[in-house]
Amino acid sequence: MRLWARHVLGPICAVACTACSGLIGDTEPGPLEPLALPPPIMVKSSAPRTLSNTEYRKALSSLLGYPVPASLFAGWTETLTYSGFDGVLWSGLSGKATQDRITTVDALLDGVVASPRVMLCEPDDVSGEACAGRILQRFASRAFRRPLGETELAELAALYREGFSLAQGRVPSARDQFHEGLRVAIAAILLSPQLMVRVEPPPAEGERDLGAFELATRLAFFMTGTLPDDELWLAAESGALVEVEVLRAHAMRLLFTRTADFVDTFAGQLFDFRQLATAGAGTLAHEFYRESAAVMSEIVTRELPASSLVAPGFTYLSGTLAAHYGIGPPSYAFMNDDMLRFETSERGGILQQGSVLSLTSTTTKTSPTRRGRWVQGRLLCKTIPPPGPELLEQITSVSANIPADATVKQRVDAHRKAGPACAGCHQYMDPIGLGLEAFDMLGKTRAFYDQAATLPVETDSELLGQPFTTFQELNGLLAKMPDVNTCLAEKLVIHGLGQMPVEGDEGLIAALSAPVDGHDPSFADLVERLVTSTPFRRIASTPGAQP
Amino acid sequence: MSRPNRRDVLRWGGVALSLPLLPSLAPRVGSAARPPSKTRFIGCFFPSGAAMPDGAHGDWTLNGALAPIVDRGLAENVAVLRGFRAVEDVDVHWSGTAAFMSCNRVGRYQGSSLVGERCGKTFDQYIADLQPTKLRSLNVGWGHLSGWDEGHDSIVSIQYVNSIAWRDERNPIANTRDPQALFTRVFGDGSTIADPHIAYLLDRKQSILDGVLDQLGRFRASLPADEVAKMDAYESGIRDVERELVARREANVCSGDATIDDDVEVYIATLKTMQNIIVRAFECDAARSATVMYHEGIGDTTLGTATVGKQHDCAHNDWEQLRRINRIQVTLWADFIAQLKASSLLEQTVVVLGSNMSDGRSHRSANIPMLVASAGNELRLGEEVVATTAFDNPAMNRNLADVYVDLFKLYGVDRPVFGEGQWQSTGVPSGVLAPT
Repeated sequence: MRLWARHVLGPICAVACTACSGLIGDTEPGPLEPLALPPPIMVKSSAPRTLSNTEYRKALSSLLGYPVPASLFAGWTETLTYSGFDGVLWSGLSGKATQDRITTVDALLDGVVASPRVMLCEPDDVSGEACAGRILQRFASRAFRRPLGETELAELAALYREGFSLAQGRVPSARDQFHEGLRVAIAAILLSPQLMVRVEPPPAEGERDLGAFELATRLAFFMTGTLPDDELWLAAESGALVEVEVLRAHAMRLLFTRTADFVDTFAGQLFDFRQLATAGAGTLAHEFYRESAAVMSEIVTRELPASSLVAPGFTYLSGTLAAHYGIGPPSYAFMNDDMLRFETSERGGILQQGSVLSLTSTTTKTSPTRRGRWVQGRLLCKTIPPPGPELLEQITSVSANIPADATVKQRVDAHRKAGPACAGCHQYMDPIGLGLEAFDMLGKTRAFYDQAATLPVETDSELLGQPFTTFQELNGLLAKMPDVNTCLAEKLVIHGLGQMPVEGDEGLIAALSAPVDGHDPSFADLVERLVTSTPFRRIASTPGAQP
Repeated sequence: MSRPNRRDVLRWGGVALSLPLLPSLAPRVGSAARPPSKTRFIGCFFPSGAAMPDGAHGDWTLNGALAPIVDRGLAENVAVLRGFRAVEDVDVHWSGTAAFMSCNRVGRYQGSSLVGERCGKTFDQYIADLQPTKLRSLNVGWGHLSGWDEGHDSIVSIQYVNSIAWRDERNPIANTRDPQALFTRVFGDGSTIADPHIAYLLDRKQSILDGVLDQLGRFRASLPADEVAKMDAYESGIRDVERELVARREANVCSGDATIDDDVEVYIATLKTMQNIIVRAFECDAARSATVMYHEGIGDTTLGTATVGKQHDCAHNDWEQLRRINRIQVTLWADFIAQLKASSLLEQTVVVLGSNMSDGRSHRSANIPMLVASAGNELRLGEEVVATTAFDNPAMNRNLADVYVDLFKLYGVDRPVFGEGQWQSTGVPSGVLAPT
């Protein structure tokens, strides 16, 4: 079993579901808890990871020195995700993935030799081979995220020569032939598994420290979703990055100077709003993305408690969004498509953002169950186990007996009241979702389901036995739960270490989420604690592997 | 650097050299009782079943969902299978999809996030092995799911719902969903090898792939043993592209064109166009194996305006809509059969259509919708093939693997054991073959 018991809301499938209610309460300390030692922090093994589509696109962009258009990736098969995060699960390099990569790299080759970031020299200055060697050494080492050995350099030089020879008599000038040689070698680098797959070789037994280049790679992908930048690379080359203070300084530098990248790669995946980043400028979907990113950026840069994302008390609105939500300054206050900060308790919370509200709905209706499941999975780190066949039979019979004219609340309640097997899960999903019914599929507030105002929205519900009537009250209850805080820490671990949570991670998560001066930690606190922790800087041997 | 010149090997040695096949893995071809009569195969799939209450035949009859087959005069080309079960190793959306054409167990996550994504080499891929063609296989579909929820995703890979074709037990085959990409793969991009610049670019691409393969070899050596199989797929993918390069060099490309369907519904136009391209690829013998997923294995992506509601949700809650969706998908399949028949390909081809469950409300794995189409007299076409009268009981159902064992025989392949665990073939004829 991968997930430890805290996560799973009980084995509901064939038994009465009292286990669920027992587990949900286990975050409350028992009488003997204060005397207990903190759980140990476990160093994890490391498995190879394929770069996600987004990581690969960003890696190509940083290698080539210009943004590679997302359109070149339009036909790619999407990367698999776990809890929103790319690359936690293996995304295979199947036949189609291979063809897609070859086609995309092919389309990029013309522009490669025009990039100043690539072309460190021209054959006018030095001999063609010497210049090519210089270019390829830098390009491949940055792509492979480590220094290259002599053999590898010789092979790249040979590839250059092969391309150069192939071009003889087939492309016009000596300079073109030089460029063709480079294109062959660079394409081979861009298609190399050493770029596409991140490997941290495990020790035969026990544990080992990660090297400076491995740390640079971990930190860069964690914080920015791409290859190490120049500053990080220099710190790796000098070896200084293995010093924990240097590592900490670079983490903070990236957090505060590349905040948008961190927000996009961490919060954007966790809360799904990165999916809207590529929506057309000016579309509602893109405005939703901008709102979510802007709110999260302020929480990061002002070092507010990370858990304040539930109810930060402000949001960012464009003119389009203000009109859509029906709040905020009058339209003349907006210049162009700039976003304005607006203090409000109605919006800004992660569960009041158009991004999350629309992404957890279908185009035709909201689903309290789906929204509740999302909140449990993404904000509270509680896993709803899949229903088994017997439970599905029961769900079928309950659904069949719901009157056609039942209200949304009555429909939802029917499942919760249909016996312990159904209630076992629905009690953790539906009440939360009902509290968000005041927002429609596009995140607009509503008091009625129908235009004739005959079907009122009912949001009175309860969260773990605590009643609420409005979403603001729901936010208040969520914000007080320790689960939001520990869940954010856990998600950061999943993203930073690229693995699903396993038994033994409790110690790290507890250490990350511990209060700072009596307050919930900020993202800066969380990031700092994670990157300086031993699980971030060390790896263990693979369980079951022969030493 | 000393390196064998694969370019020349491929050019002069032919594609067979790039397709090593271990003898122990090779099926026994030609030793079957029947002489091979079939050479091509298409596996088709839709998710979430049909309006089949508690696994009864329900709407899945010639008067119901299958009416488009009758309307096109194809009932005599189709066998309707009853009483066969999907692999229910975990939620049947997952295992019933991934194992639809291998009948293998699906792996679960344990320990490392990589362990567990495995199923089995699928029937279509065995057929693709029989005769190397320019394109190994064409695998198309609608929809893709990157994740489901933490409950499912922490146990089994969402990848299981995205592919019915698996190259081997560790490597599912992703579908092409863009008709333009499929078109380019089959017919090329309009450039001609007679153009010296195009010929040069093909040579350049070969050099690049040689370089990648060299790096792959070294990289593989640095991987833990368990991960090496994963890189095999990348190498296989490169070999496939090489094979296509060789075909282009030899001007061995499909000429002609395929009809771009202009149905106002994007869903229908997309699937029909891809089916048209597959038929043309079969006609010019660019491929002999294909799969079509009319929807990913859950049915959670939108089908456009053709339907109201998602297929998965309709299977649970709205059977009126489900019937409409089933009819659209069966119509697509019937049109596919009609095209193959009109192109005189149906006699050499077996086409199946199946699902991962019957009654979607309870995810019932018994009595899954399953059709087999062809022409000729080797199969019990035009009949119902009833495996058991207890068709609604998964425990009493027959294994789909028995059907595949019988179908193998039509290709001259003697593979008496197929599938795995309790879903493995039983050695008892499925009943789909006509008596000899």
